[in-house]
Amino acid sequence: MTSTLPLFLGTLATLILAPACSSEAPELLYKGQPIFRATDMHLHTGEWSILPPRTKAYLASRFPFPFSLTPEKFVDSALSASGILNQLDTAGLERAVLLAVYAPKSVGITKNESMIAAIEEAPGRLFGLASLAVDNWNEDENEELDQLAQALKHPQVIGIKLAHAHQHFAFDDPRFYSIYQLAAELQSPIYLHTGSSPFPGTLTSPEFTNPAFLEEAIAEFSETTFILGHLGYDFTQLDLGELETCLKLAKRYPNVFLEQSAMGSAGADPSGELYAHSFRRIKEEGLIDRLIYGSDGPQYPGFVASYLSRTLDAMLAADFSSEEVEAVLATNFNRVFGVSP
Amino acid sequence: MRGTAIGAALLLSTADLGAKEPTESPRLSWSVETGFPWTSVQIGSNTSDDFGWIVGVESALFRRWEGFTGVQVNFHPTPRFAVSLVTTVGWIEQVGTLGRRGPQLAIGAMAERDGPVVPRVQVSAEGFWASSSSLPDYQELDESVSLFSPLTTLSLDVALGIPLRGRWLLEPSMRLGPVDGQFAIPAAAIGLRTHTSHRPVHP
Repeated sequence: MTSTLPLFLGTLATLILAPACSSEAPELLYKGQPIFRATDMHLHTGEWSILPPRTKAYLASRFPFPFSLTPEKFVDSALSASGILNQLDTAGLERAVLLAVYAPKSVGITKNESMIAAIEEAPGRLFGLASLAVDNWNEDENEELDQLAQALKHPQVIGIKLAHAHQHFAFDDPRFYSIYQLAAELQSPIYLHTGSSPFPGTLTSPEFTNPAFLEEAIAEFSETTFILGHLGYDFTQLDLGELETCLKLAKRYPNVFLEQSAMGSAGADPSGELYAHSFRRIKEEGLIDRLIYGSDGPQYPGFVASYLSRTLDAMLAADFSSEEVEAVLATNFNRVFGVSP
Repeated sequence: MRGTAIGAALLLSTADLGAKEPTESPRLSWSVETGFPWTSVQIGSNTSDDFGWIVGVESALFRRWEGFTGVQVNFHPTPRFAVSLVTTVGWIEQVGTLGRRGPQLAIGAMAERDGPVVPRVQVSAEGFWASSSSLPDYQELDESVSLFSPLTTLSLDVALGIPLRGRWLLEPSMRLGPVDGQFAIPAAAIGLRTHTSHRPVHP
C-alpha cells in the first residue's frame, strides 16, 4: 500500500494538472537557480499489447484499485510520445531519451522502429537509444549488429541500450564484445542495466547483475563509453547492491559513467536515505561529472515529476550545488552523447 | 438492566422506521447502486423482524464480479436507530490482466438513523481465497498475493439517504479502504433502496 499511495496521488495530480501544464513547461529550479535543458536519459516507450503476460501482471499490480483492473488504458497513454511529453512538461524537463528494448523473456520488446517513431514526434526534445536482440546470437550476430548500426544512423538515435539481466546474456561473455566494438566505431555510448531487477523473468546471478563482471570489457574497449544504469541497485532486496563497485569502476576507468534511475523511487527507497547516500558517495569520490540523470519512467502518470522531485531532494541532502545539479541534469548528458547544449 | 433496555429497544423497534408494518413480514427489500467503480444489485428479506437473508451481485468496472448470499441480524436500540450484523459467503471472479477467482467470506456491521435524511455507516471485512485464473505463476511476484492465504478487503461505507415518495431512499455514498490488500481510491456511488432498516447489507 505504501508504494501505491504516491502512485495514486501522482495519478490524480497529473490528471488534474496535465491539461493546464501541457502548453508551457514550468521552470526547473534548484536552490532558486534555474536549471536549463534538463534531460531525463531513461524513459520507455511502447505498447501494452506487446508486453509479456507476467510483466503486464506485475505492472497491473502496481496500480491502485480499480485502475489495476484496466491498466492498459493508463500504460498505453503513459508510454506514448504525447504522454511522455506531457510528463516532461509537468516535471520541467526539456529533453528525454527513449529506449528500445529487446527482452522477450522478461520486460518485453520495444523495437527500434517503435522507438524511432516516438522520438520523431518531437525532434530536439526526444532522443533514442537503439538496442538489439541477442536471443539467437550465434546465428544472428551479424544481422543484429547491422540493424543496430542502421538504427544508429538516425540523427536522433544517440546510443545503445543493453540490459544483460533482462536479455539473458552475461557481462563477461566475450561472444557479445562485438557490440562494444561497434559502439566504439560509431562513437555511441552504451547504457547498461546494472543490479537486480524486480521484473519477472530477470536473471539474478552476479554475472548478469554485478558490473564487476563488466570490468574486462571496460578495460578492453577503452574507446567505448559505458554508462552503468541504476548504480547497481538491488531492486529485490531494496539495498545499495553494487553501488561501490560502480563507483570503483568509474574511478578506475575514464570511459565509465553512471546513471541513477529507478533506485530513488518511493517504492525502491521509501525514505530516500539510500538515494541521498548514493549522491553523497558520488560527490565524495569526485564523480559528479560522470553522473547522468534518468528516471526509468514513465511507469505511471506523474512518475517523471515525482522522481525528479525526489532526486532534487536527495541532491540537496547531499549538498550538491546548483552547478553540480546542472551537470547531472544537463551538461554531462550533452558532453557524453555529443548533443548540442 | 442492560438486557431489559435492549429488549425494550427491540420491542420498540417494531414501531420504528424498519418495521412500520411488522405484520407484513417476510417482505423483500431492494438496493441498486452504481458509481465508480462499483455497481451492485442486492435483494433481502426479513424472515422475522430481527433476522433476514440477502443475496446480491456486485461488480467493479465489470471486470471484478462478486456474487454472495448471507444472513443478517437486526437490532433496534432506539426507535430511530438500527444496527445490522451480517455475514455472507460468495464467489469472486476477476477477469483481465490480474485474473483471479475464488471463494469469499465477509462479515460486517451497519448502523443507520432515520429522520428527514437517513445517514448510514457500515464497516466490513472480507477474505478472498484467490487463485490466479489467467497466470498461474504471476502471484509469486508479489508477496501480498499468495495462493492460499486470503486477500483482505476492508471497507468503510458512509451514505446519506434522502427519502423519496413511497418506501424509497436515494442514497449517495462513498467507500474507503483497501481491496485485496492493495490501496484503493475512494469509491463513490448513487443508490436507490427501499426505506427500511432491514435493507440488505453486503459486508
